[in-house]
Amino acid sequence: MSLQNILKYKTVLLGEISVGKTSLISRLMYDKFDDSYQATIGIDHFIKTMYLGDTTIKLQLWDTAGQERFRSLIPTFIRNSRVAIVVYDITNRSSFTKVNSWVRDVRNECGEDIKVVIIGNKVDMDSSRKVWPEEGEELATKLNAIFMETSAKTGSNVQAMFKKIVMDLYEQKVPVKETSTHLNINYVTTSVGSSCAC
Amino acid sequence: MEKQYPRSSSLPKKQFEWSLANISNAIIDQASKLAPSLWEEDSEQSISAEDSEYVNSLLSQLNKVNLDLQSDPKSVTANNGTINVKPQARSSLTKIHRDSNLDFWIEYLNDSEGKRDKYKQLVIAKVRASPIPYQLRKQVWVMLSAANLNSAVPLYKQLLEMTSPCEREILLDIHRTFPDHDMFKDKDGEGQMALFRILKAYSIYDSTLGFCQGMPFCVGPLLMQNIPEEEVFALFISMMGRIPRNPILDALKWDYSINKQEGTRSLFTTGLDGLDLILYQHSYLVAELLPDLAEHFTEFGVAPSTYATQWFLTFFASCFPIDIVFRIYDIMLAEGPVLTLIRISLAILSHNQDLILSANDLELIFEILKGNNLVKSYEGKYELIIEQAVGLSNEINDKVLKELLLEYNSQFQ
Repeated sequence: MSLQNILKYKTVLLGEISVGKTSLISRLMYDKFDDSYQATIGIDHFIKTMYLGDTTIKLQLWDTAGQERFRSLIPTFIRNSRVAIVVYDITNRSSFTKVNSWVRDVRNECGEDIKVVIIGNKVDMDSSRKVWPEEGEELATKLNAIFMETSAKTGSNVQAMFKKIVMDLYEQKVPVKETSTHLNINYVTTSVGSSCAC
Repeated sequence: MEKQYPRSSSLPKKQFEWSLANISNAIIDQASKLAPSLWEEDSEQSISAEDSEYVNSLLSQLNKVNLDLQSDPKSVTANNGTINVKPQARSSLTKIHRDSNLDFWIEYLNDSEGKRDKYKQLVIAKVRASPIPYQLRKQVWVMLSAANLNSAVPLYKQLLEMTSPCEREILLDIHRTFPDHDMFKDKDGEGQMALFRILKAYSIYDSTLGFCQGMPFCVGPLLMQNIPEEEVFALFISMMGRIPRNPILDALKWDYSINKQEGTRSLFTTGLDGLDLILYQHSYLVAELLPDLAEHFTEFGVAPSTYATQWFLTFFASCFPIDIVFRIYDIMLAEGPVLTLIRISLAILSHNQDLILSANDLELIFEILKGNNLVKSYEGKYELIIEQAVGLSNEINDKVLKELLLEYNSQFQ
């Protein structure tokens, strides 16, 4: 019997006001969606625990305020992050054009090693779409980031997105050896309920 | 030279006659043990503001005992000649001390402005001792804030006729302000729309600032008191304080001297300058008053902006149960908002210090620092938060904050 490995990754969620950062976290944590979450003022913290074989992976999720004037606080919040999830709203063009500068801030603060994920959220509102998936894809390639479209409302792709992040982190952590071949998305089981580590 | 007061032990054990004098002696007796230096002072000598506050708080206890006796003769008990006052015994003063809490505030509301100013310390003692009665709270808040209704209400109506570049931003947030509260939970309901109108008017009134996330939470508790929205606007601009000139107000011939005091405004400005300052003051005081905790925070890399931003930018309204928030507003309006916010922040950290120190894990520390968890340790005795906060008056007051401001300016400007 081997000792259980616990890996912790600080993951910061960034993006313009009301693009769905808190909703994505709520979908991941509690598998639910409300029309109105309390606005995030400054920062909120959540922990998501996932299990992969004998490894426990804890994502420390830092949920941030989207308003421009909070940008001065963001460097402190980003510091020491392993993952940055930059979210935009597919029905809001300007939230997409800001992605570039969010990613730049992240790389400035954390260097090139940080894993960047670009998320186009609110695909449930496809009829009001202002940003095409190809554009998101193209930008992500340019910025060396992972890209995905999600809906926190329907849950579409949310779990898959976080699973992909965790798998990538795990594979980076464990150099390619026998385990990597039978790593499969099905191995990932997510914990249910409380974010409290106590 | 100790003053001689009749001791409670000299009182007959039975057939105790509950008079104001008996109880006052007992309290003064206790007080003389607690603070002999204060009582040894020559009565001719002037006493400092802190001392007079202390006396006030004793007097207020005395009056509360008196009030409790009127309503419940068993609330004060005598055992072997010593008087035990139930812990809830606290409250008012002066000539009004024979009246109830309610009467004090009725009198306060009826007095002329000049007269009210004279008993400012008394008002502070009163507010500290017990909540402003709910029936009068809305009027008292407006009065305490020194809102100028005659000027601000007509201005509000004029501003509502205009449009603001911040409207979209405000609309995005009002749906997400107190989403579980009856007044605000309906999308585009009356509560949300009142919030929208007030913030929109504010964003025109103070166009340099516009709108900042957090502000809807600061306005919400005022509406919850059923203060008419135009008066909420007047109260809010008074709390925010001095603003820079802008063309719209110039055109409306607004008298900028109406709100000339420094208020909470700088917390919300474009650079969040006031937030940066208050976080500096907060962390300085944590280091000074709670050094173990400060060290623990440093060890785990907990920056004050990562837990206290929402405390200060929402006046605790986004994180605490609403009854505590109302009490915080009582104190903020009587004593000054920024001062109160900092005192509360230190009080709750101090109260939870052992718990935080026992957490050797960053995520656990953040979990404890969430508002609902911080108040859990009070087990419903929320008035204790206020007692602890106002109990920090010697360590945290305007003078101390001014010194820290100067220090901050010399370091960062």
